Amino acid sequence: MVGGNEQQQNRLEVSAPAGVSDELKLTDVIDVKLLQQLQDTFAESYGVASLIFDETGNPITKPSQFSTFCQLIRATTDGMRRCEISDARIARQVAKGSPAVAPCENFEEILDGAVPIFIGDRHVATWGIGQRVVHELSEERVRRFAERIGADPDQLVAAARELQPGSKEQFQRAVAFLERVTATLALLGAQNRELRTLREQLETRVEERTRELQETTERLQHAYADIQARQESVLNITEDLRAEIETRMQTAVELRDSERRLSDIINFLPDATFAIDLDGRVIAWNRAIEAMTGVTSEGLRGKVDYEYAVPIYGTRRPALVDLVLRRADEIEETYALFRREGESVIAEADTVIKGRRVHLWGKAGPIYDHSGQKIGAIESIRDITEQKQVEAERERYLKELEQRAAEMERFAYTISHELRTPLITVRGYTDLLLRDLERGEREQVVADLRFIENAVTSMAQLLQDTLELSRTGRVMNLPEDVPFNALVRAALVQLTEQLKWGRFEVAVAEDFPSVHVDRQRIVEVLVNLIENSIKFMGDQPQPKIEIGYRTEDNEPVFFVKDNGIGLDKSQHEKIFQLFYKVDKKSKGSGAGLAIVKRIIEVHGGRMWLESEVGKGCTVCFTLPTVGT
Amino acid sequence: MKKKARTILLIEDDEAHATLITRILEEVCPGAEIHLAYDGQEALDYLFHSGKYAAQEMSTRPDLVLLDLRLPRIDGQEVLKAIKQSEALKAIPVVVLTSSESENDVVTAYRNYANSYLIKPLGFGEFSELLRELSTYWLVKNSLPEKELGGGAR
Repeated sequence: MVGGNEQQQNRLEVSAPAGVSDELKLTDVIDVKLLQQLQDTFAESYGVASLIFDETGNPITKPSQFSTFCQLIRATTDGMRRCEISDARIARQVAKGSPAVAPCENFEEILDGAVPIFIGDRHVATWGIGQRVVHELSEERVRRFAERIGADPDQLVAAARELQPGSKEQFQRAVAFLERVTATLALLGAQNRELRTLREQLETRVEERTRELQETTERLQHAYADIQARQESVLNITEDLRAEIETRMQTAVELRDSERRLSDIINFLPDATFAIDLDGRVIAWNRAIEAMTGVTSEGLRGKVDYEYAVPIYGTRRPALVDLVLRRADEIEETYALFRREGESVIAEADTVIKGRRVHLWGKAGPIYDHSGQKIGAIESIRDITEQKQVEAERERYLKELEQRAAEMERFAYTISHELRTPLITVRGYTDLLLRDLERGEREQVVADLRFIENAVTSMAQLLQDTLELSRTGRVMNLPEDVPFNALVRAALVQLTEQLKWGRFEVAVAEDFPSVHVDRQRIVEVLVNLIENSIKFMGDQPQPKIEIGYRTEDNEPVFFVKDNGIGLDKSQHEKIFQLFYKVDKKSKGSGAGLAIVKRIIEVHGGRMWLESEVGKGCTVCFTLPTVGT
Repeated sequence: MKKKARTILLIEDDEAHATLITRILEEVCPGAEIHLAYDGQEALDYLFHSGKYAAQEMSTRPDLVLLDLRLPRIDGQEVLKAIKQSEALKAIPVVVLTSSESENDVVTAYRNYANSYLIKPLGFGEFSELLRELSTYWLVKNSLPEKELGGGAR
C-alpha cells in the first residue's frame, strides 16, 4: 500500500492567482490527447489498466490496457456493480488526498489503485490504475464468478489465463511512479495553466497596453495634428506680425515725419503757442512763447502741476488749455472776457509777464487723435496790450470828439442865437435912423447910430470870442509842474492897479500844492475870476477877495471867493454858458467864464459856483496835482 | 368911449432894444404909459412895491407886462414864475418878448404860465407890425380883468 506520507508531494503548491484554481478541470491544464497518450504509455509500460476520472468520477480518458477479463466482468450488470463498489472505495480514499491501493472487490488477487491529482488544494482528477493480478486466479473460482454475474465462463477463464500476474511491489512501484508522474503532470499542467493564464493576462495586458498605446498614439496623432495646425497658424501669425511690424514701422516713420512737420508748424507760428497732453505735460512750446515768457521748452520738459502757467500768470494754476479739457467756473471768472465757441475757449486777461503789465488775448482748443479721442489741448496767446491801449485811446478820442461835436452844436446854436440880439438892434435902428434923418431929428440920429455901433461891436466881439473859445483846448502848451502859489502871484501882478484902486483886500493861502498845468492858461483863468470878483463887488464897503483851497474827497479844491453881490441860484449854471453876461452893461463879452471853464476842463478838472444873492460868490475848481 | 390909459411894464435889459420897443410902442399905442425895468430884481420891486418902489405912489399895476428872458441877476423865467405864483399879480397878462427861439425856453415859459411868447423880429417894419398887433390885441381887443387889476394910483 502506498503510504500517506507522500501526500504532501502530491499537493501541488502552485502559486496560481486566486481565481485560477476555481472551477479548474484537469483538461484545462493538460491537453486530453496528451493525457491519453501518457496514460496509454504508462499502462503499457507497467502492464496495468489505467483510466483517469474527473473529481465527480466521470472518466476523462479512454481506458488503457483494460484486460479482457475485467472487460467481460464489467460487461455484466452485476460484475459492474461490484467493480463500482471497489471503485467507490478507492475514490473515497483518494478524495482524502492520498493515493490508494486496494484489492478488487471481486477478486482479491486483483489490485486496484488510484492517485489523486490536486492542483493547489483542489482535487481535479483521479488517475486510476488497476486490474493487476498478483496471484494466479483459480479456474474454478473464475468459473463460479462468471456464473454468478452472468458472464460466459469459458470466455472469462480464457481471459483469466491471459492475465499476467505481477508482484504487489511492482504495482506499488507503479503507483509510486504514477504519483510522481501525476504530481509532475499536475505541476506541469498547473504551470501550463499558469502560463496560459499569464499569457492570457499578458495578452489582456498587451491588449490593454496596445489599446492604451493606440489611444496614446491616436492622441499623439491628434496632438501632432494639433501642433501642425498650430505651427501653421504660428507661421501665419508670424507672417501677419511681420507685415504688421512693417506697417508699424512705416507708420512710425510717417508719424515722426508728421510730428516733425507739426512741430515745425507750431514753431513757425507767430503767435505764442503751446500744447499739453491729458496729464498736463507740455508737449509743444514754440519759439514765440519762449520769446514772450523767457522760458524755454527745455525748461518745461516733463514738468507737471501747471508749470506752464508760472511764466504767464506768476503762479501754478489752471490756464485756458485746462478749461478746454474740463470746466472750472471759478477759474473762468478770473478772466476779463471769457466765452466758449464750440470746443474752443476764448478769453482775455490782465497779467504781468517779465515784469511788464500786459493784456493778453488767448484761444485754446482740444487736440484729437485719429479715432477722435481727445489727447490734449493747444493754446495760442497774443499780447494785445498795445492794441488795448490804442483802443482805449481811440475811445478817449472818440469820446472827446463826441463832446466837442456836441459842444460845437451848442456853440453854433449859441452863436446864432447870440447874433440875433445885436442884429435885431441893427435891423431895427437902420430904418428908424432913416426916419429920424428925414424928420431932421439930429440928436435922435446920433443916438440911433450909437446903438447900431454898439451892436456891431458886440457882434465883432462875439466873433473874436468864438475864435478864442474854439482855440481853447487845441492850443495848449505842454503841462508842467508849477506851485499854484506862483500862478496866483502872476495873476495878481496883472491886476495890481484895479485891486489897489478899489481898495480890495486880498488873502492868499500859504500852503498850496503844486499842479501839473499849462502855466499861461491857468494864470488867465485866475485873472478872469479875480476880475469878475472885482466887477461884481457891488456896494461892498470892505471888499475882500480870497484865493485858497480846501480838501474834498482826497483832492484839493481851489477857489476864488469874494464878498460881493452874489448870484441867484438860477444863474449858477447859466453863468458858464457862452456869451452869457450877468451884467449886460459891463465890458467885455460873456465868453470869459465859458472859456475859463473850458480851460479847466481841458486840464481834466471841474469848475462850479457857490453863491447866493447878497452873500458873495465862490468859484471852485479842481486841477491835476503833482503826483497824480 | 372913455378909455383908461393903459400901462405897460417893459422888462428889458438891452438898452437899444428897450429904446426901440418904447419908441415903436409910443407910435402904435399912443397914450399908453410905458414903464421900464432893466433887470428882474427891479421889475419885481416895482410889482411888489418893494425895494426902491416901496412907496405905493411910485408904482402902478400894469395892464400888460412885456418880459425879456435874458435878464441879469434874476432870470426872466424866475420873474415870470414870481408874477404868476403871486396871488396879487397872477392875473396880469405877461407876454414874453425875447430874441430866444429856443424850444426849451418856449416850453418853460408856458409851463410858468406865460400868456404868450413872442420872438423879436429882425427888421424895423416887422417889429413895428408885431408891436402894433400886440398892443391892439392885448389892450384893445382883449378884455382885461379890471377888478383884479384895480385902478392904480397915479
